[in-house]
Amino acid sequence: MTAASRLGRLRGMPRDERSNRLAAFLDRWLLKVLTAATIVYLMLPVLVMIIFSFNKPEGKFNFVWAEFSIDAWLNPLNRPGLADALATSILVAAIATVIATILGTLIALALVRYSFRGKNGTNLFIFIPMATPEIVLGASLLSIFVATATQEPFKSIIPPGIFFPLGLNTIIIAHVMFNISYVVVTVKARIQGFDRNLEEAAMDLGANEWVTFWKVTFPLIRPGIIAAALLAFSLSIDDFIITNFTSGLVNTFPVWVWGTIRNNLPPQVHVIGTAIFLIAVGAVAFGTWFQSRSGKAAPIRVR
Amino acid sequence: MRKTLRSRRAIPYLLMAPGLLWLLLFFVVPNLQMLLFSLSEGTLRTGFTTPPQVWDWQNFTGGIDQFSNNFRNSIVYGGLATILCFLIGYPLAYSIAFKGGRWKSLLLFMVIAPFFTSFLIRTISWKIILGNDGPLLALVRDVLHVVPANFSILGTPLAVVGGLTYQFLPFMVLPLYISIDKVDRRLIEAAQDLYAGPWRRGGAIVGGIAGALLLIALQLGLGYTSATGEDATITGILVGMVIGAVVGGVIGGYLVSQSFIRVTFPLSLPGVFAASILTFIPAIGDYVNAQLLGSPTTQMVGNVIQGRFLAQNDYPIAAALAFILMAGILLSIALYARLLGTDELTGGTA
Amino acid sequence: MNDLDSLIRSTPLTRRVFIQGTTLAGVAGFLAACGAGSSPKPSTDEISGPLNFANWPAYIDLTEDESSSPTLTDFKAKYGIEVNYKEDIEANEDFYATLAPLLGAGLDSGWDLIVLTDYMAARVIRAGWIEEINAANTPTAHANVRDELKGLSWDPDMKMHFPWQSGATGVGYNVKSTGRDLTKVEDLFDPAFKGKVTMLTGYPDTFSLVGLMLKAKGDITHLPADMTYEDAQKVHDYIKPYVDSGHIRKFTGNEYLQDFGSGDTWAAMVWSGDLASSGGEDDRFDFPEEGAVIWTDNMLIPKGAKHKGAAEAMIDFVYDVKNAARLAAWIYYISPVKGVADEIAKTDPDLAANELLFPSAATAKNMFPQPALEDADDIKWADLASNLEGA
Repeated sequence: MTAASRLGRLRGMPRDERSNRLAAFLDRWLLKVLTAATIVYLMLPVLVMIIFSFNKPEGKFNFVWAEFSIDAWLNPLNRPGLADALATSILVAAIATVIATILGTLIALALVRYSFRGKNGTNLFIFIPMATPEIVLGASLLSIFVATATQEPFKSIIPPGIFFPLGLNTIIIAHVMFNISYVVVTVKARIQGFDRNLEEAAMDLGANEWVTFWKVTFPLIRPGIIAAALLAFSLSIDDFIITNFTSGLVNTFPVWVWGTIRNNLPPQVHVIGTAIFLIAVGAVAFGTWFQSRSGKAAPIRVR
Repeated sequence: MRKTLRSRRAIPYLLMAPGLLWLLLFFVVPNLQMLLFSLSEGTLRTGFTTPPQVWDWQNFTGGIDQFSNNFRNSIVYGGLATILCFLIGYPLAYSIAFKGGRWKSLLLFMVIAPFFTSFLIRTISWKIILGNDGPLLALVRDVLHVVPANFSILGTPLAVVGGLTYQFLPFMVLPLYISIDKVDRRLIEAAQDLYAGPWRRGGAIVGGIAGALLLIALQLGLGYTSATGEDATITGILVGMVIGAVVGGVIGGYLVSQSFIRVTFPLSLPGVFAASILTFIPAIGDYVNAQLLGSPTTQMVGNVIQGRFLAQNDYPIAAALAFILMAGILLSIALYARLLGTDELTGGTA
Repeated sequence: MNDLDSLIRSTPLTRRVFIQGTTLAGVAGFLAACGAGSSPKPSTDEISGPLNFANWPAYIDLTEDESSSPTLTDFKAKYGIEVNYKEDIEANEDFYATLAPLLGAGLDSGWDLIVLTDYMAARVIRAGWIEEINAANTPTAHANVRDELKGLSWDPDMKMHFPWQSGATGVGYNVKSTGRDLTKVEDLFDPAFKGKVTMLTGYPDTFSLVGLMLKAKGDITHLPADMTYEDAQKVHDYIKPYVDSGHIRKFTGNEYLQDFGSGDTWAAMVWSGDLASSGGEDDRFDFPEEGAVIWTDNMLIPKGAKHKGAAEAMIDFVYDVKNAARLAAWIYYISPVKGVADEIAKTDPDLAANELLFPSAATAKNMFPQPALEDADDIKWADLASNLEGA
């Protein structure tokens, strides 16, 4: 039987059981299969990274699978400059996270708790840095930092050493800048959901604004702040493009990887990558758990 | 009861002051300095002559002219990556929002999980997967023999677009998920009560046409700078069209229901536009994918900007190019805000 | 108001940095004040560390497990100072770009010792960005430097530079991938290798090597050092179609090693010692028939270097014959030090006969220096190269 005549037969019998079963099968499974395939696609490079952290490459480049080994895991920092770069990354991420979380949370509080002129404009202004390509952020920061050393009026106002030469401080400035918006949006999303009546009740019971904030508001928005800080930390520790423009001679882990990959790619890169991934996953899991716990507990405590 | 003092009105501004000052000093001022450089003359070696001494508009006109290929690459690759992200991301976002059930959090987590590893290492992973001695070519070249021995994926536009699609997929999925999740379930139930059922024929036709168009767009978009040197041929386009139509038809016919096309999809449209902007903008500005996965013919505007800034110290042209990117982005955000409001983009005004 | 003004004026610079830093940049500025951000101190002869040494990748000897360098370990032991050795120089132009804003503004570059190729060394010396090397601190280097490296027009008396290593630019290939030996520059354009060929960024290597090929074909008449802009245009026009067709997959610096490693590059323009020291067992280097390019990378002390004494000690240290022999034997480049061949022959006669380290007279005759251009020409040539590179 030819395909055409088979098709004709199907058309002739729209209630054909086989086509019905196929339809039912597709109805039931197509979306699930597509979803699963997309998730696999998203996780594939991460999986490759984890697998290749156990590789013992033949040459200097960990690009082709050779043999299983845990050598790199036993000596994860055994590369010149790697430990320093990692320490810099952690230091930068920690400082930038603290500053950005404080500044961003204050903005989020203002945006959610108060109505004032220019609120829509502020919302949009906060959003624009997130929508700006990283290369523009990096290039503009490099422009201003170099201008402080070469262009008037900056040259005579700003002493050398703060913004130029590029280094740890310029990286931190850049990281705080791109993190503020993410913190605002994350904290805002949490504050929006919370019950203003609790604050008013506290005030009615005689608490002043300061006490109300620390005893009522802060515990309620704390999960949002923690989530924002986690996001800021992970964005900071992974950033490459903006850091590459603002780091000068200082290496963070991604910048070190970019430099070292030119003449070798040791499996240690994959080991550190995997470790950062696992720690981040663990932190998020902890954060979720903490949030769900305090989310349930807080109202009870207040009431 | 509560007093509305003048000082109370200052509180929000005081709270915002430090953060906004930081953004002013390290986002607004740097962009203004970049604008100044973009109208200047000279290099770091010679020093810069800035406005008001000179107004060198040549950096803009000449820059666009000299690097028109790079602009074309950015727009075409960024556009294709955005379309692919939408086609892959919408079913995923829909599936998480409507069918996620108790797996919802886990699925959402899997979408953002790739962010927890350095994106350089993810791109390196793609080099491993797509490389000459990697698993993909081992399959299609050495086992299936469907491609010749000197076939490469790395160094082609396909690799760059693939890398961009991968990297920015979460940028598409998350806003889509938020906007689909907001759709009122009661509207869908109402539609189903009014006998909205599967939409086999319509879905198949729409899906088929979309699939065919996508394959044509991909072939034309990837073909014109194809590093394998083969331009898109009529046969290739026809074959692609048929394959796209069949796959699109099946998916459209079986996935799309009447309630979806009448209720869910229209209600999620603002989210679709927002997500597309949030994907397209970083995609056209990217340079790491083109650098690691591409070839000289697939370089994007970002590559020129970083090369001129970090290697040649030719700030004026680089600043002009970066400013053109920035201006395009401000324009598209303004346009969006004008037409659809700012809520979807900025996460609500609260 | 006056009080505040006089207070700020009278406080030392570090204090001013501190005040402005904390108000302007918070913690970041504070770090700057405490850390690396202070103004350059005058250089001294005193040997103090750490020595901040920027060099090219694969340009220093390593122990078997590649975790440290014997040369650096011995240097640290001898002088009791740390060496902050960074493989940060990927291409002359890129590294120049990181230095120019600093040295141009009269600031300390953060490096005490850097290594640049002839034409770039000449440029930074012309710009006045390099410290003079104190001859009293470098007696070994003055005694042992090979005579043919002396008397260069841009620094005839070795006041500003000492060579680190010399090398050649030629054709590298993976013999397993290509399936045959390559002997000519023209082999890079063999259609069989389409999409598997890389060349070097910038004009000095690529334009010289293809220029030698076009000279052998009779298309141009000048050697690389004498090439005119018209010649460079011809080279550009010859290469361009191969870029557009995807035959040449990339222009690279040292990262061609990466693509040889992953099998994505089969044949490339490479620097002579790299594949021997860092490549796989099937990777080969060839001095092409049309001629190879010869260059020297030079140690330089940037203006305002904080540890000039340590940099001079390092220069003198690597000119010790034993140290130089150990270095050359690992990195496979041409040592600038007299007597290295004899030293290596004592332990490894095969290596002493290796053309990569000690080119024969015939090979040496077929090696030609790169063009050394004035700034204006340099920009024009660089534009030709950047047009090929696509960005």
